[in-house]
Amino acid sequence: MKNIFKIFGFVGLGLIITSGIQAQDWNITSEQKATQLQIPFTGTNQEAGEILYNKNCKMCHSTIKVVPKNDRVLPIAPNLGCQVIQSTNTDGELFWKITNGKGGMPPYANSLSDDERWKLVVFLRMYFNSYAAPTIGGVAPEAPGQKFQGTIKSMKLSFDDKTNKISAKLTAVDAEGNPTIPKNIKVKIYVKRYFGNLLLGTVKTNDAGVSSVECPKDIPADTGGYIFISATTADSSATAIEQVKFGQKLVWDNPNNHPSLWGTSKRSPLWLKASYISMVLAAWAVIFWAFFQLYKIRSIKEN
Amino acid sequence: MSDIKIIDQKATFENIKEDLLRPIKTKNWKYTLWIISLVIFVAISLWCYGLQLKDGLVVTGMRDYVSWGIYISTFVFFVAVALVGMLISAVVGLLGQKWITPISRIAEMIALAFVMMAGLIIIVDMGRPDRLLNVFIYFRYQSPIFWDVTVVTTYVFISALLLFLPMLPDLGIMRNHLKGDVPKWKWNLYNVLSLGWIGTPQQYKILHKTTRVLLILVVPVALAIHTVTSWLSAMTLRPGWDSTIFGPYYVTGAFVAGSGAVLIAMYFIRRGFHLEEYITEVQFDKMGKLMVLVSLVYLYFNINEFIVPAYKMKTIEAVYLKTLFAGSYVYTFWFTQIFGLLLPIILGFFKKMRKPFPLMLIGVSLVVGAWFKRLIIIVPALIHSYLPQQNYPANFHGYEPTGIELTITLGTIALAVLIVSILVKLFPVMSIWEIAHEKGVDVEKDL
Amino acid sequence: MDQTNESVKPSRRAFLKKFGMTLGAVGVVGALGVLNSCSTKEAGKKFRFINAKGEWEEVDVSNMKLHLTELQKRGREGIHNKKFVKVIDLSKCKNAQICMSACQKAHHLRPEQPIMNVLRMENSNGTGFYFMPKPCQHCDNPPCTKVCPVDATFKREDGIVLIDNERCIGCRFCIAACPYSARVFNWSDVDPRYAEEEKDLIYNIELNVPQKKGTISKCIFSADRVRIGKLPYCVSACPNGVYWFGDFNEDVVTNGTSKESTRLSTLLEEKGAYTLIPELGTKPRVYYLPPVDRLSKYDYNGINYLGEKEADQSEE
Repeated sequence: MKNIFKIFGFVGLGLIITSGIQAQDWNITSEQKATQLQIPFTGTNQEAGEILYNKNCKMCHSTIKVVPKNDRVLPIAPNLGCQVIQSTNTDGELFWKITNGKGGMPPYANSLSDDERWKLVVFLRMYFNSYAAPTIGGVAPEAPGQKFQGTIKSMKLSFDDKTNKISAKLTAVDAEGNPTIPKNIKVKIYVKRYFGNLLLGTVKTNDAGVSSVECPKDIPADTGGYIFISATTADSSATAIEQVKFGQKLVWDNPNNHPSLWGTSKRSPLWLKASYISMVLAAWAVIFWAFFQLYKIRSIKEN
Repeated sequence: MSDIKIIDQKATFENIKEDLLRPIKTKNWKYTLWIISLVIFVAISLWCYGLQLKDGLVVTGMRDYVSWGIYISTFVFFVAVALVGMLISAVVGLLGQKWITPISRIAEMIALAFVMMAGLIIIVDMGRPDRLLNVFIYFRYQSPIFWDVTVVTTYVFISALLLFLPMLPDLGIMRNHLKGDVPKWKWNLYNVLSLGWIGTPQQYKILHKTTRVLLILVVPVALAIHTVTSWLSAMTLRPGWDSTIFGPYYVTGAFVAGSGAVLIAMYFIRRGFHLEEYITEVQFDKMGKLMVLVSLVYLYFNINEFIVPAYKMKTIEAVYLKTLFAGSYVYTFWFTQIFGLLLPIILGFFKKMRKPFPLMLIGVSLVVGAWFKRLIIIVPALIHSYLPQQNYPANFHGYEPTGIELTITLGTIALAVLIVSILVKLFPVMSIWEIAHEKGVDVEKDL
Repeated sequence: MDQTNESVKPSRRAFLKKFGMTLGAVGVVGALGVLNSCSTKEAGKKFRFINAKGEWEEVDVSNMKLHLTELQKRGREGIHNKKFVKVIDLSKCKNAQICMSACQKAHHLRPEQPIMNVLRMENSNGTGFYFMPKPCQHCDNPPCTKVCPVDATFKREDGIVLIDNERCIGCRFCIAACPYSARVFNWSDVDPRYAEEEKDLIYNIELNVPQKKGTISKCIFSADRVRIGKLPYCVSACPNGVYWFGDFNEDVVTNGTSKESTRLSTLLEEKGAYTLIPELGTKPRVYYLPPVDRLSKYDYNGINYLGEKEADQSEE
């Protein structure tokens, strides 16, 4: 444990050294600062931004949470949901910071396209409570998902082989306790795997309260042909797990069951074992025969 | 003094017996001093081995890249020298060459002592010698080490039998004629070992038959022992070892090293025991010719082993070859090639050089060259890895044997020499009855 | 005068004692297997080991052998129907070397035993540098297990190549056989930093701790973590998202940093993955994604990204 602190300390120290340079500016011109958001603040762009964030930023910035002030210390990079950061940065500033990088933050100018970086800005802005999104190209901004007012009661997962789709059906009650259909709720559907869950898709529930996602047919199942699927709402208010029969049944031919040169002694190839044993037997038969001859010499007495 | 000892009528059993048993009966302060110094050296190296056991192999110069050093190269050297027993007694003997009679027992003694030391130095090299028995409990048919253990053990037994069997009539003679001349324990030893030899035709028949069968058996076993030893290297993917001719390359190299060792032993035994009439200049001349022959074959394999990759210069092989030809091992490499191979061949062509003393010097050059040659085969190939060597301390990159390591290695060599020295003083260095037979003397009537 | 005499005497005696002791030690080795039982067995003494659920358990000395056998059996069998695979994204590696320190900490290794090593590579003259983490490749045709004389190193059915330090005889043939230089040897005794921690610890083959003098150590894909469904030490320690780890049979790998899972086949196909020195026919189970579109500048002038000067890196 001590060492882990040491490691973190070390990384932290390194980052502090580099953040010495932080006193220098991000080198953003006022012109860049004034750059307007280039793509509309729509649900599609928000989702695309989230995927990009998870791939490129999450490893340092971790999960975003809405907090008043940055609550993270090095080596974890700042919580970008912090309202101080959100309010002191313009859209243009966020965009150019991603583009140019600084110190420990790498530049993304070459690895992400302009469009992708703007999608990241859109995603980040979802966490800014008082964000007023501009209308771009005549597309009105969409609020980041109306919060469902009721309480989700249950979630049921099912698989349909005909359509090859996994469906999660949600039931809910409203504030008064009457059943209601939970519409437009984001549900993440996964295939359970050994080290983590493979996300099949994040789909909003339809008018019937069902969100469904198509399964890749080639996904491997276990030796019985079963797969565990799981689903969770975006805010983790309901989860479900189910074992279903789909995907490619695993036919596992254990290589250790075959004779090989690299295998254990029990798996030695027959030709090798046979030639070894026969050669050793032949040589030692002669040696024992020679010993027997010695015995014969000894037993000869003068007559 | 004539070059060739003429088999004359005056040679009697009494003369031969007296000449060959004299070293056993007499005491010699030079010999005692020699033995004592060897024992002291072995004791010092034993103490060094104790240090190695206590602290681990960290006391050696080996590290994660060069994980085999002079222990393994000396192992290969021991196996190489041990092969001479098979070369002299079996190959040359079965071809019907009579001149080897006086030196075949010396060759067998060298073979037995050196193959035993080969087994010992492998244990010295092991990180966990206490788990030696695991090799027999959990053996894997697929591992070249297991094959090596098998053939080395087999070769030890065959060598011992080939040394012991033809000695039976001599032991019978010693039992009959040495009582009172030697300490009682020694006589008892001869008595027990002679297995009640009385020299009946039936006993001789069994003796001849068994020896002949063993001489035939020793050829494939000896080839196997050195081929498998070469496979310890050649079965890996390492540049420099990854070669298909490693088996014959090792075997011919072994003949060269072995001839050198026999030449040295012949010279000193002849001088020390005054056996000029038995180990004559004929033997030296013939051994010199044999040495040139095997060296020429070895030269041929050397040319193949180095010219072929050097012409192509594959990336990683090129790095390895450059180290040998002009890099950090340049002196060792050219020393082994010139003194261990080229010079002995050239000198061996001249009749004047095939005399005892020059041949002894050539023998020393061959043996020293052979030891360094094994080092050149094992170490430089390990120094170069496929991937860059980084994040290691500086001493992990090369190889520099430590004092402890050198002392232990020299100690095992001293122990091999000690065993040979004891054997030649304890038993007749050449076969009394065979020499007598060759000279037309009947042994049986004097038994 | 007296003082010098006094100072000489004990050292001489100590020397003689040492000499005698070492001679004795040699004798002990002659009687094989005595060193094997180097742990003293006092009655009532407790030993610790990690059970199948990944929890620590304390056992009495009388049960020690039993638990060792259990650990060995479990470790040698492996996890059924799995085939573990690692994907290393070279475009992400910034030579932070946190994987290295996490690995050394977990397996109680000395700093000079980097069984997980980050190498500074240059494929050809003038092609520029990149950093390449190099664990054991867990080959499907492993040259190391081929040559082991005692089954001390072996490939389990889940693809992991393990080393059994209760059996290894220390011949170092596997080091000579491995073309990736993935194996290290315990040249000396245990690192004193871990001596306290290793006291009363039953040897766990899946963690390869305690390390034992005179035996081999190697990357074992953190078999103890993998058994309880956790990512290996190096994979979860990486701050830069370099490592993906998963089960080939499930066709999914999980990133150690972002914990994101993705289809293995898609990842390998899209990024143009390759294996290390494939011409040797070792069939590695570690895939590399090429160092393209790198996120950080790679011209460090000998300074790594932590601002430290890099150790001397003599290129062979």
